[in-house]
Amino acid sequence: MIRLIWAKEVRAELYTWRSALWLLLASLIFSFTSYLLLTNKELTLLDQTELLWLLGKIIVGTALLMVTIDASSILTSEFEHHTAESLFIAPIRLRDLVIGKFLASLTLWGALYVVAVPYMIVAAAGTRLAPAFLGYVALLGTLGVAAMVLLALGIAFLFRSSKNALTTTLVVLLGLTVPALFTSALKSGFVARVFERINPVDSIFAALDNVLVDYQLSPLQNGRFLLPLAGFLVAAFAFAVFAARRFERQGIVRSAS
Amino acid sequence: MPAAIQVDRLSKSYGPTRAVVDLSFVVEEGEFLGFLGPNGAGKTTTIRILTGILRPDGGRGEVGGLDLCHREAIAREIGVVPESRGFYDWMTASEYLTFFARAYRHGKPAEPKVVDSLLEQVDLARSRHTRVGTFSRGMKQRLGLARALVNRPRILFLDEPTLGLDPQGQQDIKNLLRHLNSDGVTVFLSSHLLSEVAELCSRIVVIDRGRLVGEGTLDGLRRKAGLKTGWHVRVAGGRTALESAWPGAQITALPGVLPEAEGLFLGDRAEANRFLDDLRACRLEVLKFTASGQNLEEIFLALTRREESDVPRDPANDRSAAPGKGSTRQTGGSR
Repeated sequence: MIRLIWAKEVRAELYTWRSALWLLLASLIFSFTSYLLLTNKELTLLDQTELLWLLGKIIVGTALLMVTIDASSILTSEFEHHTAESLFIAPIRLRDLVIGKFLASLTLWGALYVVAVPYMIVAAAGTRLAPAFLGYVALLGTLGVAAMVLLALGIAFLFRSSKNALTTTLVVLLGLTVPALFTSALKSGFVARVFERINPVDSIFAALDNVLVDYQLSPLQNGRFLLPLAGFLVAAFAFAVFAARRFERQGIVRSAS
Repeated sequence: MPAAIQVDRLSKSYGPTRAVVDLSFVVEEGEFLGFLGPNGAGKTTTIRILTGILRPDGGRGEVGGLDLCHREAIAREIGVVPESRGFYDWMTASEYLTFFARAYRHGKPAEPKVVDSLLEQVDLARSRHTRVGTFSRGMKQRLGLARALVNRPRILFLDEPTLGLDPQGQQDIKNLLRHLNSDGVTVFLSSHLLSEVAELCSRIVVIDRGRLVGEGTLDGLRRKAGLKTGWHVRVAGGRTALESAWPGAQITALPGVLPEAEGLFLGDRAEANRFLDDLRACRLEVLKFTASGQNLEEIFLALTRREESDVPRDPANDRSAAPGKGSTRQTGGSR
């Protein structure tokens, strides 16, 4: 049943050109970034490892944004297009439905990653960092994207409206991403440092820095960054389960129509 | 034989609004039940509870012998044409039904056969490769019915199944429903088309403000509503003969070679039988004695006690709502 839902979602994405548009946009962003990194006078002065770090941040950041937007409507579209009722009167478990949609959103991340691979290989040429770069972007991106998709699905269960779910999820993403882009001077206070330690987006960027700039390639050496990310994933999973159970208790309609 | 649907003191509220209040009724296996009520009476909520879409706040119920908490098991036994009809517009009709056939785990080899036969049944075989988004409302309606039949259900729930269909489309759906019912499928029909309910259903449940207000056959409901059945009487012997046997009757002399007269008698079945005996005692030859005035709209209004403007109108009934003209369904045979 999970495969059935996943296949339906992937086909819907392709049929409506939504995924294709995301992928085109992503490749334009990656191309533009690579062009700037290679041709801009100031940027060419950066060390190649710094360039990789910058490109890695852009790839994961783009993926987080795109997949979050996509996941915010993947569930609510069933309510808004009045197709939810026909799904729930079929013997489809809510769990299968959610997992199918979760995997469909991860598939978009997979496709984005495939688009990013040539850019990563070209940017890492001559550094021996290509395998680590590819591997860590895959690992960190998957953990971050999976957590954001679960969060988006949970929020979608609560709001049942694409607009509200999208706005709320983007605010959360923004709230996590903006502090991660602060300079170190802004992160010197106690609260800022605590937030930096638990912020999953900060962890992704810091882990990439640790791997690409400081050559700390082993996962054990990156445990302090992977742990908050895993924690965020577990929290997002728990939230999605809570929201799904609440949804199941309420039923697919909350008011008399 | 266990009941197909059993509902016992079912309740459901949306915040302060009580949509269903202590609703109890039974639908026997193979029955064709009409489920009526004015707008906001709780019909759709009841159907959603019975089909596992909503959880009731109180009471209990069984569908196909299964408790309402077993949503997936119930889903395998029932077919539903819900009130909200959304479709995946980007799928073709065939892909749409294949998706649901897979959800019911028909098995890949059986899927094309099931889908083709359903498309034939609802007369969409020629549009099997057409995208659902381009379908007319009537075609979508038929596709929705095909989806409801994808698992060969024992019990069929229909919420306004002929809404938006042209007369021919309505007739086709009605014929299909009759055919399914004759094959043993229990049909639970919620409709605003009172003539449709009167034509198809063997029994009717009427709810208002979430409560049961009437249950039974048309005759039974008529009695409960305190309405009398009209009986068309035609006798040989002309107007004078009928007038002498039935003083004060509304009598029409019929044009024709033979002297015949027709009148309208109001009363229940027992009174009608006594009246027939009186006519025979007067040595009148009764040529026709048929029930008429089975106007479900009158019964519906009487039971729900609403202003006429609140009541969903059935255009078919509106045309025939003149005094003395009832619905076309006749329970009394010609004699």
